Amino acid sequence: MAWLYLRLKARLIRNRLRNAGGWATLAFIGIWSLAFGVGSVMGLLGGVVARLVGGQGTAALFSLAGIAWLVGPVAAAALDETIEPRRLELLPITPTQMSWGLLAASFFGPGALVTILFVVGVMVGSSPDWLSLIPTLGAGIAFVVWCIASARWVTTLLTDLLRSRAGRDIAVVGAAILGGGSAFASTFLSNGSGDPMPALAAFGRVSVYLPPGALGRSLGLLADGEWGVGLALLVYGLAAIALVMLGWQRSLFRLSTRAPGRVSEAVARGGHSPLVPRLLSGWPAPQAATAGKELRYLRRDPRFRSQAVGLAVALAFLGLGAGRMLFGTEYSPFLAVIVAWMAASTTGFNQFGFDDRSFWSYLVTGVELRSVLVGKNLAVALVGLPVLALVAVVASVLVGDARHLGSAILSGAAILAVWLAVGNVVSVLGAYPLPESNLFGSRNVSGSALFASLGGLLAAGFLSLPIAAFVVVPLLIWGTWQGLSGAGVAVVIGLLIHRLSLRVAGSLLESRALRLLEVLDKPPV
Amino acid sequence: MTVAAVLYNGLTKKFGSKVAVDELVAEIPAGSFFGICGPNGAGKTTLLRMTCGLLQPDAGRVEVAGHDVWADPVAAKSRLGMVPDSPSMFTRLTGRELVEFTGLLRGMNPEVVQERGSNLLRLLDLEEAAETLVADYSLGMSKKVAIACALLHNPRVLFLDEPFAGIDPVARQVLEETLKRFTAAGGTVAFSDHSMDVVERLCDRLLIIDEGKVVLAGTTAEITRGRRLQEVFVEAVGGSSTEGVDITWLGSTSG
Repeated sequence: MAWLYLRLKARLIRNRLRNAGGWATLAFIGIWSLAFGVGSVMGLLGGVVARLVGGQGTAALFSLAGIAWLVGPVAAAALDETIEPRRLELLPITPTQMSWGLLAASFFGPGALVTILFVVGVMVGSSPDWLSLIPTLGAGIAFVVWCIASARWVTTLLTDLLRSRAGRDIAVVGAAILGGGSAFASTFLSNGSGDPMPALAAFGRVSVYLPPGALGRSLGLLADGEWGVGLALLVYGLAAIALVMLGWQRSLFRLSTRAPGRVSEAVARGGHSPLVPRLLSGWPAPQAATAGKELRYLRRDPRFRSQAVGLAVALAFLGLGAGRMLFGTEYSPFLAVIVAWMAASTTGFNQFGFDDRSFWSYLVTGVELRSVLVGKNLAVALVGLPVLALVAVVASVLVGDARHLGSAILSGAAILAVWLAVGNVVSVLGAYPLPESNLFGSRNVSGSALFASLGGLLAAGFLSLPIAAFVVVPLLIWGTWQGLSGAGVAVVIGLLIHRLSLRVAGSLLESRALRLLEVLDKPPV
Repeated sequence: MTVAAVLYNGLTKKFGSKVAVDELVAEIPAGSFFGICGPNGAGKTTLLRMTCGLLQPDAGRVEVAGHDVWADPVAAKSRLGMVPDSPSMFTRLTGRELVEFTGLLRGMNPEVVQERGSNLLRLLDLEEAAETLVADYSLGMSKKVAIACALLHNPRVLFLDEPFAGIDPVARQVLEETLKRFTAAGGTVAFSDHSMDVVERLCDRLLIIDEGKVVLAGTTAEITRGRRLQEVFVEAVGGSSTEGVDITWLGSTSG
C-alpha cells in the first residue's frame, strides 16, 4: 500500500508538471535543489553543534526541528494537496492503510529531504567513528517519522480550519509573527554572550522529556555506546510515534466520515458604510470605487494583511538594524522613505494579480482600465502617505530634531510616486495570478512576469536616483531649507513620472486586457 | 419586424487546431427568452465570452443592441449584463458593496446605485445577507448577487452561463421569476443550460449548437413540434450508445 501511494504521488506531480509547462519544471528543480542545499547546510551545522555540545545539543536541535515541523505546515496552511485524503474516502481503504500510505508519500517532499539531510549531519557529528553510526540509525529514522507523522496529524486535525477563510487569516498572520519572532530571537541570541551553545545545552536538558528531544538524546547516547538509557529513550520515542499514528488514524477516520466544516458567517463590522471614502467624493466614480474596494481589501484580504504584518516586522528590523545608522541622528525621519518604498513595492508590481480570476468583472463593465489603475494607486497613497508621515513625525520626536521632517515626508511621497509609476507598467506587462489559497508566493509566475518584475526593480531603482539626488545634495551641501526645496522638486518629478506611467500603462492595458484576462483566469496549478 | 438584440455574423474562434465556434450566423430577437444548448465542448461558453467582449473572435462580428462588441465595446457593454457559470467575484466585499462597486465602475450615479442595489438585493432575497462577505455566500447566493450586479445598470440583454446549475429549488424559483419579469419588461435573456426541461419550460426561442456550428435554430415550438426537447436535442447532436461495449458484468453478483 505504501508503495502504491508513493507511485500515486510521483504520478500526480509528473502530470501537474507536464500540464504546467517548462517554467514549472524549472521551479520544481529549483525547489528541490534549494531543499538539498538548505538540508546540507543544516546537516553541517547540526553535525558541528552535536560535536560541540554533545547529547544535550542533539536533543535541543531535534526538539527545535520537531517544533518547526508542527508549526510550519499549520502556519503555511500547507495541506498536502497532492494526495488529498478526502479524495480517497470512497475507496475501501482503512484509516491504518491510509495513514501508512500517506506517511510513505510524505517522505517524497522537499521538507522531508531537508530533515533527512539534517539528521544525517547530526548522526555523523554525534558519532566518534563510522561504526558508531549504525546504532544511531534507528533513532534518526524514528525522528524523521515523528516529524512527518506529527505534522500530518496536526494538519489533518485542522483541515477544515485551514481551508476556511478565518483559518487562512490566522495562518497568515501567525506565520508572519512567527517568522518575525524567530528572527528577533536569533538576533537577540547572537547579541547576548555571543555563544549560543550553553543556551542550547540548557534547552536540551529540558526538551529531553519531549519525544523529539528524547530521540535526539537517544541518538547521542547510542553513538557514545551508552545502550541502557539510549534504548529506553528510543523506546519512549517509538511509543510516542505509535500514539501519534493512532491519533492520526482516528483523525483521518473522522475527516472521511464527517461533513466538511461549515464556514462561519462573517458579517462586515459596523454594518453598511458607503464604499467610496468621503475624501474621494469628488473623484470620477470608477476611480473612487476602485480605491474604496482596494481599501476594503487592505483590511479584509489575508494577502494584503500578511504584507502589512511583514511590513511592520521589516520596519521593526530596520529600526534595530540598518535604521540604527539613522536613529539618534537628525536624519531619522528619512525612515519614511523606506516606508514609502515598502508600501509601493509590496503590492505595486502585481496589482492585477490580487484581482486574480475576478479581473473579468472590470472588462465586462466596459470601464476604462486606466481608471482602475488610478483607483488602485489612490488606495496605496491614502494608506502609504499618512503612515510614512507618521513614521517621520515619530522619528523626529524620538530624536528631538524636526529640521528634516518636511524633506523626509516629501522625499517619501516622491519615492512612493516613482515606485507606483513603475509598478503600474510592470503590473500590466508581468501580471500573474496570486490566488488567496496560495498565500506564500504564487506557483504561477511565468518567465515573462519574472523578467518584468526584475526589470521593474531595476527601473524603479534607476528612477529613484535623481529623486534622491535632488534631496540629498542640497541638504548636505547647503542645508535644511535647500534640502526642503529639493524635496519639493523631487515630488514634482515623481508626479510627472507617475502621470507618464498612467498614460503608458493605461494604453498598454487597453491593448493587452484580453491577454491579462487569459493569464489571470488560469486556475491555480 | 423583430429587432435583433444580438446578431452573430460569421463568428469564428479557433484554439489551436480545434474550431470552437465555426462561422456562426444567428440572431437573438429583442425581448426573447433565448436558450443556447449544446453538448459539452460545443462552444457555448466560448460564444458567450465572445459576445460579452471577454474573448476576441478570429473572424466575424457580434452586435449587441446594434453596437459591434469589438468596434464599439463601451456602447455594447453598457447594454449587456453577464453572469458566468462559476462567477469569480471580489469576495472580500459584502454583497451590497459588490453591487455598489459594479455600479460605480460602470459610471452610474451613486444615489441610483444605492437605490437600485437595495431593490435588487430585496428582490433576490439577499437583503439579510447584504452585509455578509461574498466569500461566505453559498453557490446560490453567489449566483444571485452576480445577477444583481449584471442587472443593476438595466441592460438590454442579459447573458447567463448555466445560471441554474447547483442552486436549490427556492433560489431557482426566485431567479426564474426575476428573469421572466426582465423579459416581460422588454429585456432579452440569453442563457445556456444542460437541463433540457428548464430550457423547454423557459425559452421561447432556441439555438442548438454542436462543434461550434448551428444545428437547430428557431422558436421552441418549431424545434420541438410536440416532442420533448431532450429527444430532439439528442437526435440533433447524435447520442452515444452502449452497443458494442461488454458490460454484462455490471450488476451481476459474481463480483
